[in-house]
Amino acid sequence: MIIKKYIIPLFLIFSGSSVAGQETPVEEEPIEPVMEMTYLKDTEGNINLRSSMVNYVNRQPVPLPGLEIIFYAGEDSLVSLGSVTTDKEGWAILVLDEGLDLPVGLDGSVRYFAEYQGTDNILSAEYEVYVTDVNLDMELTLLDSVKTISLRAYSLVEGEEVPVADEDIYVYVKRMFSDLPLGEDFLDENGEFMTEIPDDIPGDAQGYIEIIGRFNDHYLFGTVENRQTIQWGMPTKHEIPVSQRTLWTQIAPLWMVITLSILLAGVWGHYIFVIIQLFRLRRIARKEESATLV
Amino acid sequence: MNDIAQQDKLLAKFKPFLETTSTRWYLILLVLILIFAWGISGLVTQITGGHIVTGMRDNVVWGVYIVNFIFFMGLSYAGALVSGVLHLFNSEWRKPIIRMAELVTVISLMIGPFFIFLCIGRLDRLHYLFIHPRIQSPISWDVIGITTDLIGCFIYLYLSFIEDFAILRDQKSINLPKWRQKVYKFLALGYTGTPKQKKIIHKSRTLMSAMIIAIAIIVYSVLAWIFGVTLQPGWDSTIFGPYFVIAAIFSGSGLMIILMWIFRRIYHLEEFITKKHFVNMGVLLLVVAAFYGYFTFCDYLTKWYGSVKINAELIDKLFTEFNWMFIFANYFGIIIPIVIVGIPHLRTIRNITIAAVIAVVALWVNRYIIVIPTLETPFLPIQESRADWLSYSPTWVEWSLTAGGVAIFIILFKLASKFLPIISLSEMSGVDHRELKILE
Repeated sequence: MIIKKYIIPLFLIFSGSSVAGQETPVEEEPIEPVMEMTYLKDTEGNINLRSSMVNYVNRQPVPLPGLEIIFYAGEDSLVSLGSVTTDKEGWAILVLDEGLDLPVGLDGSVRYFAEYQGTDNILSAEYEVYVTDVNLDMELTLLDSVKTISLRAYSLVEGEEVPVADEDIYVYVKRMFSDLPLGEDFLDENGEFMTEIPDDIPGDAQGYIEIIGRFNDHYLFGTVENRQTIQWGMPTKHEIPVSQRTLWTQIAPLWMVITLSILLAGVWGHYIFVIIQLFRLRRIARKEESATLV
Repeated sequence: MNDIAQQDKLLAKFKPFLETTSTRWYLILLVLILIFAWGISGLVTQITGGHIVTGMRDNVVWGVYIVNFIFFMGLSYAGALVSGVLHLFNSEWRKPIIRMAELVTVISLMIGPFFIFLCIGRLDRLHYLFIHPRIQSPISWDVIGITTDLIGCFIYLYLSFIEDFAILRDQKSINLPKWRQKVYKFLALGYTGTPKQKKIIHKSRTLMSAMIIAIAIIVYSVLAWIFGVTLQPGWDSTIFGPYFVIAAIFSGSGLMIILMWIFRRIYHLEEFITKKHFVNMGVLLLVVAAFYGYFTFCDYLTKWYGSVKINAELIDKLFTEFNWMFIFANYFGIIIPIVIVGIPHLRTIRNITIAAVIAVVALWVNRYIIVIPTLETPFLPIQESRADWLSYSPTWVEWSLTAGGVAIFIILFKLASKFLPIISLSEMSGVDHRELKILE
């Protein structure tokens, strides 16, 4: 009776509202991925091709892990460079083998090409970049006690060093979250640039800082950088100030210790008093029992 | 009717239930045990598979478990407040229902903290809370508070049982097994009802009832501060302490009415638990519902008016994704009990019980919409933010353990009411304050 009168209607109300909230499944359309690729030449001269695969959901990029990206070089006849599977961030990074003979175009650039061949669920995607190979040398010297950075950029044409002139170059110092710009200018006719470093840049505990000279996502050269670590910074001491609210501190505010102690002492004092009363109850009973026997 | 006659009448009423156990009783117990076993299977799945089997992820780190924890703790504190206040003020009508309130207090308090253990990823490090306590952490306050409260409530419950243990030990009309008689004898502590003993019991109970009222308010405020002192949208609120306490009394009064209705029907206690009891508890429910509605309105109004971007996002989420839950918890859950109890014509036992059921379910839903939408609206996206990490939906493991918690609550209540009459024999036939004064 109760079930019929109350429980079934209530159940119907709740189940009805939950069913109403469900939507009819719609056949999912294949993902249309967005591919990008960047070129990076590091201090040791290694070439890194970094390709990313994402899917935009509500204008937010969602990484696509586990996709095989195939890298090539060349225009008409493609040279396979290798394949890499995207990681959980959606990145596939290929480090080119040293001494690889890459097909150079008439303008001296190399065409790098990345391709994802696609599946039923994810559509195919491709991306290409044209990069002219340059070298970037960096020298850190003290000129009349002034900390000076000298950069020189050149390309190799038939074994000859040809300076890279009038191109934008940057100097940074590495910080914890991003690189701090120290200078930016155009290279002179010899492909050179010189700048000073301030004396008051905080370094690590020993004063080491990492200086970076870089073509920053350059339209011809991609990203080419040279990093060097040198003891030119100010040594920093990491002193953690005492704070009573940090997770790791053992020090509680005095008012809190006192309040809590008073509260606990008060409450537990009463508990003990009542427990003693319970023992008294038993003692009284025993006394009365023995008195009755006597 | 004199005390002994009243006592004998009650004993006669409970005699069949204390002496024998019906097949129906066993069947209900079996169903409850099966539900509890389902909960255990969920627990085993969670222990072997890890928390990945739940709906909790990096953003929503608290789910249904914490909702159940707050809910059960709320029931417990409400039981403590109701029984403590009724005892302190020596309300005559309290007598048939005070034991239910006491049992709600202790049983909920035994179950609630288990849901916290289910949230913890590394249970093997649980003892660190005790060996490396940081008293500036609200979590430590909660551990200290709940432990203190649990012990206090046990003492209070035991004090209220002693006289009944003695009555059951001394009675001759009920045929009880020997082991039970021995247990009653041991637990009665030799109580014979001498003026000295009565005075001790009365003094201790009065003291403990005052204590548990204070502790219930403090400990439930501490529980609220775990949210209130956390810089999260929707939680960082100064009124969370009193708001939680009021909400606890609201759900606890509702549960009391439901229990009164159930036990009245099972044991045919129409003579003892009358409409007056339902109306009195209903009026309490009405008053608390009004306060609870007022607090809810204040809380959301100030958040909405402040126009802080993250609070606006949270409120928007409450009125879209959690729309039906919000309306049920904060409109129906408050208005229906007020209307039912407020209009004398509607004030029947059945209607008051329906209002109580709505109040209790609404309170659970209210806890859900306090916890989940906030965690789904973080100030900053976490480093690797995936769409499925930002929204929470409980898995069967969480539902099984929730059902298991409810099942064990009912099992413990059944067992307790099997061991002792659900209406206190000593309260029904007991002396009042005036008599004690004369005895002194």
